[in-house]
Amino acid sequence: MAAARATGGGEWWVTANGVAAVLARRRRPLFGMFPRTSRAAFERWRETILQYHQTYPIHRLIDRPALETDAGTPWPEPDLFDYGAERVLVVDDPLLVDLFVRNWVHSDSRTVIVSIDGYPRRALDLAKQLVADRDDLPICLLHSSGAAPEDMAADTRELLAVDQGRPVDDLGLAVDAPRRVRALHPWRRIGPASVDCLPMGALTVGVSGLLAAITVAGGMAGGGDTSHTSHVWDDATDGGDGDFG
Amino acid sequence: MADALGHRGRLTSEPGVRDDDPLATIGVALPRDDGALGGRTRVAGHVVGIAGRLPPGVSVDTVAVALAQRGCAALDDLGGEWIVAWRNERTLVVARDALGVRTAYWGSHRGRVLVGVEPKAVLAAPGFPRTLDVGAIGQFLTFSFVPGERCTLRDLREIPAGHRLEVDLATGDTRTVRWFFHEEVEPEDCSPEAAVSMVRAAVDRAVADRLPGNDDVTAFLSGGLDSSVVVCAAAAMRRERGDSPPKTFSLHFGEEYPSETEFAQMVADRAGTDHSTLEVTGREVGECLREMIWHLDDPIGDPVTAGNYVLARIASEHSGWVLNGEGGDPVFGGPKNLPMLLAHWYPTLDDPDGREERYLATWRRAGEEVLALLHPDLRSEFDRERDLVDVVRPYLRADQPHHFLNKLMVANMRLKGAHLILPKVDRMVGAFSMTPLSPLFDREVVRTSLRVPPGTKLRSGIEKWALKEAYRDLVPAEVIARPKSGMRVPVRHWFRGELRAEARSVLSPRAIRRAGIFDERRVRDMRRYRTGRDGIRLWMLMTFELWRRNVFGE
Repeated sequence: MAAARATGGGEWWVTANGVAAVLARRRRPLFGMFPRTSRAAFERWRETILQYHQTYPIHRLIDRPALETDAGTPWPEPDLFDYGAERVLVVDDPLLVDLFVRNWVHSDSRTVIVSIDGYPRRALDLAKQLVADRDDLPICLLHSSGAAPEDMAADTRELLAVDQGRPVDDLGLAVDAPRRVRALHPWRRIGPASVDCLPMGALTVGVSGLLAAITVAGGMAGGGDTSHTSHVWDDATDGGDGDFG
Repeated sequence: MADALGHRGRLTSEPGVRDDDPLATIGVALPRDDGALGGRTRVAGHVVGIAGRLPPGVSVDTVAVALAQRGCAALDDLGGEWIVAWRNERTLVVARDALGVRTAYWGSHRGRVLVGVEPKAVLAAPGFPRTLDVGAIGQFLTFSFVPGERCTLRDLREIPAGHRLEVDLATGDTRTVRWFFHEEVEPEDCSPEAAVSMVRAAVDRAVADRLPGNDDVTAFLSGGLDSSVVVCAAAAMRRERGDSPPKTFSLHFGEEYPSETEFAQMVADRAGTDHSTLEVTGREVGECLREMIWHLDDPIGDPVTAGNYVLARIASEHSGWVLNGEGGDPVFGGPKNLPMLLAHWYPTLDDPDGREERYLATWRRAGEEVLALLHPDLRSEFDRERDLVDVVRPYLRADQPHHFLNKLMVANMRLKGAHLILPKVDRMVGAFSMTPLSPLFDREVVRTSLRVPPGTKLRSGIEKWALKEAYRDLVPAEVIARPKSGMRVPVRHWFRGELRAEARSVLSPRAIRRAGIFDERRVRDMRRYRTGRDGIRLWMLMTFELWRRNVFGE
C-alpha cells in the first residue's frame, strides 16, 4: 500500500526512500502501532522494502542506478544530440538521476541531469559540451537538506569543467527544510532529508517549476555565488498542482 | 436546409445536381468572390471551383487550364490555401491545400458522395448516419483533436492536408490520395547566416503575399515571438506602401493571471500599430461557449479556441482579414521538440513502442487514461496500438526526413497543425466572416524551414533560433529573449469558479449516464478537481459533450 501510494497508483517511479517516506508520514497506526520516526527506523523500513523487492518486485521501484550503458544509440537519426538543452541539473545521488529520468522530468523540463559523481557518463559528456558551448547556460543543483551547497557548487564546476566563478543555482533542500516543509516534518526527528523523501507529485511538479523558472534570460543566479531557492518546497504536500491545465 | 443551418456549403456527386455549377457552394463563406480569392470556371470540359486564397497573379482560370492540361500534377505548383474541386464526365476530385489551412469533409450516403468545408455541411444531408467512433474518441482524449482521415463520427471522413479525394462518378468508388510531400526536402549545407537570410526572405514573401491590397487588416498579437514577427513584418511592409499598419488585438484573462500583454504592447509600440487589449473572463467564455462549439463544429478540445473566438468577434468590427502567428512552433522548431529529443539522451525508450508512447505523452492531455475515462461498455472498442501508436509511428519511424528534428516538425505540422491549429483559427474567425492569414504556415516557408540546417532552428537549446535572428532588427529584444509562454487559459480556476456551474450542468451524473460515453465516477472525480491537469480534461469533456448534443440534436 505504501508503494502504491508512493507511486501514485503506478503513475510515478519511486525509490525505496520514497516508499519509506510514505510510512514516515503516516498519521495513522500501522499494524496497530504508530511507526517511530527515527533515523534507525527509517533505514530499517528502507532495507525491508529493498529486500521485499528482491523477492516480490515492486512495480516502478528504482533500486539501483541503471542508465549507464556502453551501447551506442539504437536510433538511426544522426542528430539526436545536436540541439542541446535549456539547462544542466546536477544531483547529489545517482539514484535521483534514474528517478527524474524515469519520470521524464529531464524531457519535460528540457534539462540534462547528471549526478555529482559523474553518472551517467554519456550524459555528463554531453553536459560538459553544452556548458562549454554556451557560457550562459544555467547550471542548477539539487541536494538533500544535509548537503553543503557551496561545496557541491564547487564540485559541480569542477565536474563540468567550468570556471569557478560561473553562477550556479541551488534548488536543493535547505538545512531547515524539515522544519519548514510540511511533507518533511518527520525528518525533524529522522535527520537530513533527501530529495526523494518528498511526495513524488510535489517533487516532480516542484522541480519542473523551478527548472522552468531558470532560463538564460531570467536566471536566479547572482554574481558567481550560489543562489538558494529552496523556499519553493515550503508548500510541498502530498499533492501537486503546478500549471494552468 | 444548408442555408438554414448556416454552414459553408456542400458539394454533391449526385449526377444532375447543380451540374452547371457543382462547385458553387464551396466558396459561400468567402469574404469576396473575385478571381484572386476563389470562384469557378469551366475549361475543356472541366468545371473547376476554388475556395480560398490563390497566390498573387494566379486566377481560377489559370488553375483550370493547368488542371485540364496536367491533371492533378498541376497542384504541385499551386501555392496559396484552398479547397480545389473539379469534375469532368467521369471523375470528381476535391483537393485540400498542402498544409491544411482550409478543411474539407466528406461522406457517402444513399449512393451519393457529399463534400463540405465543414462537417455540418455533410451532416445536413437528411438521414446522414451519426454513429460515434470510439477509437476516434480515444484519439480526441489524447490529442484534443482527431487526426488523419477519421472523424468522431464513423461515417464522416476528413480529407487530410495535402490529399485529394477522387470519386468515380459512374461507380461511386472513392479513394484518398496524398499529393503533397515535404518529407523529401533535405537540409542544405549552408552557414547559419545564410539560413537566417533564407528564413527572412521566405517569411517576408509569405507576409507580403497575404497583405490585402487596399483593405485594412487586423492582427492577433499575443506578445509571443511568432505573432510579433508577423505584425512587425506586416507593419513595415504596409508603411512602405503608404498604408496604415495592422490594427492589433491581444487579450488577458484578468489581472490575477499571468499574461503576455506587456510584451504585446511593446511590439505594438515598436510596430506603431493601433493596439487594443481585451480582458476575457470565464463568465464571458461560458456565455458564448455553446455558440463557439457550434462554429467549431468538429470536436477540438483546446481552450485557446475561446481566446481566438472572442478576439475574432472584436477584430471583425474593423476588417475582414486577420493576420496571425500560427505555425511558428511546428514550422520553426518550437517547444514540442526538445522534450522528444532529450528523451533519447538516456536509454529509457527501450520498449518497442517507447518512442511512440513518449510522443503521445508529450501532448499532455488525457492519453494515459483513455480507458479509465471511457464508459466500461465502450472500452473494448478502443485499441491503443491501433488508435494511437499506429497513428504516430509512421511519422516517428519514417526514413524521410532523415533528421529527427525534421521528422518531429513534419509530425507536428501534419497532426497539430492540420487538425488543431489551422481548423481552429479558420472556424473561429470564419464565425465572424473573417479570413485568417497565417504566413508562417506558408508552403514555401515550410520548405525553407526544412531546407535550412536543423541546427539553425534549434540551436544549443534555443528554440526557433533562425526565426529569432531573422527578425532581430524588427522585433523588440525582450520578446526575442523571453522563453515561450503560450496563451495560458486559466481553465483550472474557471472550473472552480465562473465555469463551475456550467461544468456541473453539462457533465452532471445524469447527463453522463444518458450519453453513455464517459465513466461517471472518473468524471465526478475530475469535477472535484483531484489532480493538476483536470482543468484541461474537463474542458475537453465539456466541449465534447456540447458538440455531441449539437450533432445528435439533443
